[in-house]
Amino acid sequence: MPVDDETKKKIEKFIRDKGLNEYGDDKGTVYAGGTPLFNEMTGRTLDRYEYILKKHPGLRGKQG
Amino acid sequence: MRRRTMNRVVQLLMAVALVVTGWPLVQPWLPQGPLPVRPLAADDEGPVPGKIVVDARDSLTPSQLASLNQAYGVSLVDSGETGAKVLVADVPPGQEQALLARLRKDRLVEAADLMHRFRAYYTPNDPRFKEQWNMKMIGAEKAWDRTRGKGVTVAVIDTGVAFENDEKCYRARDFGGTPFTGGYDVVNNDNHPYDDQGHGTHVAGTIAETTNNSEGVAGLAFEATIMPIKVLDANGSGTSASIAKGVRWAADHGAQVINMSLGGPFPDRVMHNACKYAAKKGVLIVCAAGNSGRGPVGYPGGFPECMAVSAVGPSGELTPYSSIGKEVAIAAPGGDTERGAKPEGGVLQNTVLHDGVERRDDYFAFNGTSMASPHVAAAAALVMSLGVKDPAQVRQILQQAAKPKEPAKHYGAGVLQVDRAVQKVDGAVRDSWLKLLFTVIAGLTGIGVGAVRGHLGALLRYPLAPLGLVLGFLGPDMVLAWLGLTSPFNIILHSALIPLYLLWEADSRAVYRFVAMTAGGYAIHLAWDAFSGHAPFAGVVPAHGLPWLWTNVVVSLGVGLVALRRSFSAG
Repeated sequence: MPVDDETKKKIEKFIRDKGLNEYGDDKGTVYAGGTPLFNEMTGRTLDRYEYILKKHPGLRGKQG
Repeated sequence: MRRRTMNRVVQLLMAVALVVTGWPLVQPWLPQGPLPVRPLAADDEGPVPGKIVVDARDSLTPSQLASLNQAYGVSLVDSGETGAKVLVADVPPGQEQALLARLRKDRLVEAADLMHRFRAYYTPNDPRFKEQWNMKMIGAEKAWDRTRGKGVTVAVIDTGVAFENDEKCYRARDFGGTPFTGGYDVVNNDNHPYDDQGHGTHVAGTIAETTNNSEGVAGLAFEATIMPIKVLDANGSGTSASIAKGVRWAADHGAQVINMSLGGPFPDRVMHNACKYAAKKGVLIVCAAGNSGRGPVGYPGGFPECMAVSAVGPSGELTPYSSIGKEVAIAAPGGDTERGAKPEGGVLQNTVLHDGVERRDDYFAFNGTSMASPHVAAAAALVMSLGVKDPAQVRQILQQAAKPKEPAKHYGAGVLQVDRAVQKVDGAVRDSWLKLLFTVIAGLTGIGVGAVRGHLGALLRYPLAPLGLVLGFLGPDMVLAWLGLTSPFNIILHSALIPLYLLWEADSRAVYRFVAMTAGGYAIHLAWDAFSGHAPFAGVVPAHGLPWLWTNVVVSLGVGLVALRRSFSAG
């Protein structure tokens, strides 16, 4: 399901306010391969907002 | 009589000084262990005595063949299997060249040469090795003829490695013969860095999966020792603090190369300090550039102490997922199962995957800069096993040996070529000996000519002049050995700026002569670097460095000529 603009804004504000990294995790978080969005086993890439919403479902807007 | 004795003493002293000052300079280039002398082209075992091969015209008839045999007193034999007239003959050993010279002039002969015996490169018997396109792309087989990484310890800082067999741990099926040294689990704070995710084992497999054991696939430096360090949890994530601990632990426990197929967007200072600490201890740190598909390179790969590796697919082109940026040092095979033929486009290694219910110990084709990075770490181990221990020098060799590809922010110095890297080690050793020999011969020739022509008095009046030549020729490398290959000061040290500055400050005949000789030494030094294709310090891609080098050669020569002219007119 595509993430609506309102939710995207909410996510960006949440990240700024909490001082998180661009994936919504603590700033010092390190990932296998360097990003949690790319699955090295399948070669598929996740949407950044979808990844963040999975960890913080409360951020999803009314339409989303 | 007294003057003659004095001349001889001066000659002797200068010869001793040349050897004494030149000898320590050779050390940084020399391997620390004995280096066996082997032919660079490992596939060619040389000519077979008493055998020649003749490529005759394809239209050669049996009667023409008979006349050839009669004319040259040989018995050329045509195998007749392919239609091509490739003939072989036995000749008395020692007469091959004379006969070949005559045969080459014959109108029925297209080419004639000594018969060379070739052998296949080292090819492991691992049944799925043929699926490892990545090993072929980087010239692994040719490199294995020379070395397999024995004696070098590579720390794999990752999710751990499936290398132990006990109630808690499990050893992956194709790691039975891989050398391991004790590791550390930072996540669980114990000495059993078991891989509960699968990523770290796959990465370790690219470096040193057991090879030539009739099982699975090969690792690139399969005689190197793996030091497993677990810093990422079962979800494949960890903290910068864990990474820092892992890096320091590896540096303190004898790792010579660290591979980190991990990263994050934040340039954490604690993590950076740990990388600085390891680099100061002489550890080469190789990192994945990241899988963001854009810039910049993540961290720790983005730190200057680390070698960031971008990923290419089976076509040799940058993969869509690879991070890019000016920090990319080199590119290596990372796999591309999206654009490549699935799943053959990935990097195939053994690992153990856990889905919560059961574990799957099998061969999986992954793709990512995580897979590219261990190719470079293993290549570094191969180079180090030949005796080059300085990480900056190893980095330089890998970059210079890479297959050049633009743009640099995608590929760094180019695509990894391990066969060329191991050959470069031999070249570097040869180069260092040649430099020493050149210095000694040039010095002794100068003294000899001076003695014969009775100009030794001039040498004594201007003792700084020959010193200037030696300083110009060897000085930049002397300081480079002290500063390290990555110091930014090297660009000044290896430029014509120094002789130019000396010319500016010169004010007497003696100093002008010194400047002229120093500039001459600089010109020879820089031209040497340019001819040998060696960038004089790390971080300079030879293709980019060559115009700069030649410009400095010309300027140095100009400075030398001006200084020489002024030395004649100065009072």
